[in-house]
Amino acid sequence: MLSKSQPFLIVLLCLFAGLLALQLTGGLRLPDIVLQDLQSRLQPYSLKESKVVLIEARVSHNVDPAKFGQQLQRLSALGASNIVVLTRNRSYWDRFRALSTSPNMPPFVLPTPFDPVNTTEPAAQGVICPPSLTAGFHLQLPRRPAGGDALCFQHALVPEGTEGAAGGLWLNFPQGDSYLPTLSISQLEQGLIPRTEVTGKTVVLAPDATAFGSVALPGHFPSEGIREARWQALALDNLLQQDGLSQWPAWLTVVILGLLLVALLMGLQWLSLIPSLFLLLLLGSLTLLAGWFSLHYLQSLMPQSLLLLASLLGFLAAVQLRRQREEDSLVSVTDALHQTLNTRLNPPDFYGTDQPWQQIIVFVNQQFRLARSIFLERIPGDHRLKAIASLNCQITDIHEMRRDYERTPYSSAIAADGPLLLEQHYLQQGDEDEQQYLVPLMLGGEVLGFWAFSVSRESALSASSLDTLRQFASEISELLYHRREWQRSVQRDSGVLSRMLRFEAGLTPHRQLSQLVALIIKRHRSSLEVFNELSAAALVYDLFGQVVQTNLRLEALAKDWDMPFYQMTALDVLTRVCGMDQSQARDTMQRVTLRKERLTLLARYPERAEGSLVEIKPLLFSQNTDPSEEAQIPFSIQGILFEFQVNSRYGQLQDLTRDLFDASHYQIRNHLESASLAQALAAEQLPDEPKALLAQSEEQLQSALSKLNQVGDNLVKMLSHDNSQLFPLNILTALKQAQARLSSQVQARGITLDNRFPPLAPLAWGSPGLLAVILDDILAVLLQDAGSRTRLVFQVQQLEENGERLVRLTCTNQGYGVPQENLLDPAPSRSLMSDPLDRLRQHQAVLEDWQGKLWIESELGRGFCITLQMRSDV
Amino acid sequence: MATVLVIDDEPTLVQLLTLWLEMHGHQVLTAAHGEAGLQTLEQAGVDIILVDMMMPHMDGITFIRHLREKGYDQRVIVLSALPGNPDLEEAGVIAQIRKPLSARDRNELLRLISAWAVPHA
Repeated sequence: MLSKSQPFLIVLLCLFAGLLALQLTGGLRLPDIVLQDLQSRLQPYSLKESKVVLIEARVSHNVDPAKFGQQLQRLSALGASNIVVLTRNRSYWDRFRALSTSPNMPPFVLPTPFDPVNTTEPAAQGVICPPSLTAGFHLQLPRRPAGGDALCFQHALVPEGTEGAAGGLWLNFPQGDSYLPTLSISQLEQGLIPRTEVTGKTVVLAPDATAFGSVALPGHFPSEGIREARWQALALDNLLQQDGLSQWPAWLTVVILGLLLVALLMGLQWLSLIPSLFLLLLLGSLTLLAGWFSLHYLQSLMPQSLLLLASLLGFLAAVQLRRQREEDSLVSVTDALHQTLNTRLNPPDFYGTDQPWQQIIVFVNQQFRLARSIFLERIPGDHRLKAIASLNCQITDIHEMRRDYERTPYSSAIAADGPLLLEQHYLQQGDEDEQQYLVPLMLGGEVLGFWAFSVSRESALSASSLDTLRQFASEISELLYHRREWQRSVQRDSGVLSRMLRFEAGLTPHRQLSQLVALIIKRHRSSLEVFNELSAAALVYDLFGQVVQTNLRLEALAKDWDMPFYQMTALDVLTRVCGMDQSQARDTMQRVTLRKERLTLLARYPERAEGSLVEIKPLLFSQNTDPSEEAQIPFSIQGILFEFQVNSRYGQLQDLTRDLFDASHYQIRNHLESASLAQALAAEQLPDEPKALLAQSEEQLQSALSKLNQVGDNLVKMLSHDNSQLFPLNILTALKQAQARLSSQVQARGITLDNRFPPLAPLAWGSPGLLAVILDDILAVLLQDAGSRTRLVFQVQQLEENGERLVRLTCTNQGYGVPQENLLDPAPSRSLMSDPLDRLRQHQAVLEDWQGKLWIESELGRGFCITLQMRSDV
Repeated sequence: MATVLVIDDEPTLVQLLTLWLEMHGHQVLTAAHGEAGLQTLEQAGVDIILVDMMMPHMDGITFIRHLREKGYDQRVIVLSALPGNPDLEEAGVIAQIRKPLSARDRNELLRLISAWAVPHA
């Protein structure tokens, strides 16, 4: 079935059927014959000798058949192979007919000069068939009836089957008028005809040639035509020489037409307009060349007009279809862009908006603390003004009523070329303390408007403030001026006449698209600026590890670190910058792409980049992304973003920490050290009791110093990156954040969260991004299993095991639970990462990396108990 | 008895160490940083040096390097709040005692100084 989505087939069939119908109804015969006429003039070969000689009476000649019999015998004696007598004169014909029965007469052909249908005369030797007129030329000789006698006298002189196909013989006269030897009857009567002219040839005698009418022929023939007797002789020669033309077989025409249309409609889809035109010209030339070749060498009439018309219509159809498709695509793209852009914040453009003054008001209000402001706009082409916008007052608050900028106070403000302190009230209902100013808004001497404002006397404007206001007014004037010029140019360009002169009158989708593209480019530029201005060096990879985008800071970083980020994959960055081995780097990539984790790692390259962080984030599709578009992208990830926080707040914080550490920590420690030593010295001199007290005090000092040293050690470790990827984390904060993320689910099911936290937040070593994921999964397991309106208990404890400080988070629910053996053997149907319980099993390895533990316990009918234990020697 | 050079930038601590060592019969010279310590060495004979690691002008490690470069062969004991540095042992540091000095550390320090002082006596 054909549909609108397959215009190719529809157009192909329509063109094919239409052209074929035109050809079959003879609509293309005239152009074909005209072309044949032109092509027959371009004769490629030399003259052939005619097999026919015409002997005619050039003037009206009274022929005596009795004498004529002698002439016929003379011709026979000269060796004429056949003698044909053509006459349209009834009396001649009757006498020649009587002559033919006379003895000693050579055989000659005497065609019946009458309409064979309407005569009772015998037509055994054929009739003089009148030439049929086709498109102004006499080119066809009727065909011999199938199985019947010769219709035309020419048939009687050639073997049956050589008279042309159905429709008759198309005559071929490539040699023109001079080809046929022509003698006069007078020459015959006077015996002046040489034997060489006659021997072996068919002689056509036309004693009353002038009685025949004129017929028109193409090619090298007189434009007024030739005598019909001559035409009949030429037609006889065509048959004897077998020079007649044939038409292309119908099947070949159909095949060639079909192939040509298919080739055109397919091929032209790939070419633009100019190459298509060249192809069209080439095809036309080839068709004409083939027609010429066919006419002269194959003696076949090619349907040139049909093929030329097919090429032209195929070209037009292809161009139109292509244009239609482009238009449809444009409309579709424009609609999609409209839809996409409308979902984003799209503030009205200052140049395009109808209310620029409102934007100026907001602009002014953001910059100055003015009591009241009113803006006046000049009426175009006039020296009067109109109040247009106000801030902190009404437009009608203007006391001055003339609004003529050629008069005071406006003229004075123009002369001052800046804020003019007004001595009289310009604005109504002002406070006594209020000072009022008027500033002209001018550019290049042209007045665009005025800005009247007031300030309280307390905050009277200083000279520098007035200068600032003057500059500001100048900037506003420039904005207004450019906006007006822009609007004029838009108005000029959008006029119907202007568009028609530019040949853009009907290009609405194109204009809309160009406006949208301009908006997109503007947004892209501002996004790029934002991207470049990020404090972090940013690098975006696509899913296939290729660099998609970088910002200026990263380019500087690449130069500084001598690191060819552009040639590196995401995996390379992890191994070279973060000091991971290939296996660790691949695990990290999986966490980002599969689990959508946001990771924060320490950069270990180069060594002087101490303190820099690398944040790795999956770039996820936003919620309102087109679902069909999203379906084409695996993992629902657009790419991976690497952010290098080199000179970030973190780095500054590190520097500050180091400075504080240097400035205070060692001093405090030294003072405590001195105090401890002093106590020790003093104790040696004292009696036992106070000595014991001093020893106790010294122990406390020693303990404080030890702790201080430990803090110092940890800070040094952190700053020197001994714990790559691990940071001291506040586990209570992380847990509360995880609970907040699932709060809607918790509330919906009426579940109570019971947090049993110690008063001081314990710190534990871990990766912030991954800890959040682990806590999310713990909560997800507990919530999935918990019954409605039950309690989840979260208990955080600090403990010490084997001299190691630990933080333990125990999470329990009141749920259905699973048998403990199922926990060890996950269900095979569950795919990796699909289930939070499966993910928790994966997280156990992560906790081991952190020198911690994660274990899961469950019992049918009781629920889950999940314990997270982390190192806490912070 | 030994002549001990105490190099530390904390004056109170230096005074207390001087008092303590003198109480145990040793002669004490002092310097506020490594550079001053080297100058003291040029002027007086010293048996053993107690040096802090973190000091202004010249830190402990730089002091020890200069000490060996100038051909001094005195034994050095490092007193520092920083963790021990194995490289220092190759530079003739006979002990690294971590601050704060506990009673045991103080005894160990006295033992080391006395052990070095006896052959010289």
